[in-house]
Amino acid sequence: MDKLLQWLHMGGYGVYVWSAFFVTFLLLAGLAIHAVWVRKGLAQQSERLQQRRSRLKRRQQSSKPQE
Amino acid sequence: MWRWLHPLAKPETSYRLADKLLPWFSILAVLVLSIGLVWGLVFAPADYQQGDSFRIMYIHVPAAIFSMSVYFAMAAAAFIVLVWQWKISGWFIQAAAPVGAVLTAIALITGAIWGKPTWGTWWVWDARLTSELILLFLYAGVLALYYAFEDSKKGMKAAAILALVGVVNLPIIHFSVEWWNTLHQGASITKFEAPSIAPSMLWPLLLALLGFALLSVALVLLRLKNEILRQELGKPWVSKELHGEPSNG
Repeated sequence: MDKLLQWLHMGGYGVYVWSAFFVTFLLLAGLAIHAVWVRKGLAQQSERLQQRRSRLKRRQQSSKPQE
Repeated sequence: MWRWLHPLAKPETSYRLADKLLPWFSILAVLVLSIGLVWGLVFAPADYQQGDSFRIMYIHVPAAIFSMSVYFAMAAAAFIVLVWQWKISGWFIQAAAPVGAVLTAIALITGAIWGKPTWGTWWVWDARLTSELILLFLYAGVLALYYAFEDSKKGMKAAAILALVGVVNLPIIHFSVEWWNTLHQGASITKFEAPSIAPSMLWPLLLALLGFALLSVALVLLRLKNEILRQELGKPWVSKELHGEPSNG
């Protein structure tokens, strides 16, 4: 336990070392999470596009026989 | 070579390739980075001058080096867009810029955090720090131009031109510690001389470098996949990829 605390203390530089590593982790993880989020948005957009297309198709098909 | 490269010009083929490579790069990146950073944080001995604060180097140095490598790759892609109008390399610009910007930000922030206990200040306006800050602005400018036009081809071209012009900043960053008097220390490892750093500290640094390289590639691939999907939205293969059904079925 003492050894662990001593390691976390980093010879007095603990705040600096750990904050540097923490910020780095946060920024890199942010990039990855953002990409996952963008992909979800794209999936929604694509689905909406498809629904609109199939609605259009149905309308065209139902109007044709009456002509 | 062009005949070999030609099928890659088809967005779906590029997407599949990126999709196949991504898990390998991700897994290796996490593995190599964990080993390198744990080694650097736990097992490497403390520096005789800088104490334990030197351990920040294990993220600062890789981030700084690859902030420049990613820029170089982005500029090469920009050149290809402008000369051969290969649109996927234009999409690569969009994929790479934020990754490079984040690496630059990490280099600047960790540098400042290390500078406070070592130099006694977070920031000085010297050549190395200022040119690295300009790199961050270049990334931001490239990204802003990419989205600044209604016509995405125009935006791509404008971003590519800025990316190419900005290459001039790379040698300035690299040689700044030699050309000007600066607070920033010289390189710890160079290609031409024996490293000025003990092996017990060098090995974790080399692993961290490899890990950051793999991670950069993985993040760019992840973003490139998204950009290909975004540009090809509405095509049957994209709908199938995103929600499992082709759009004109």
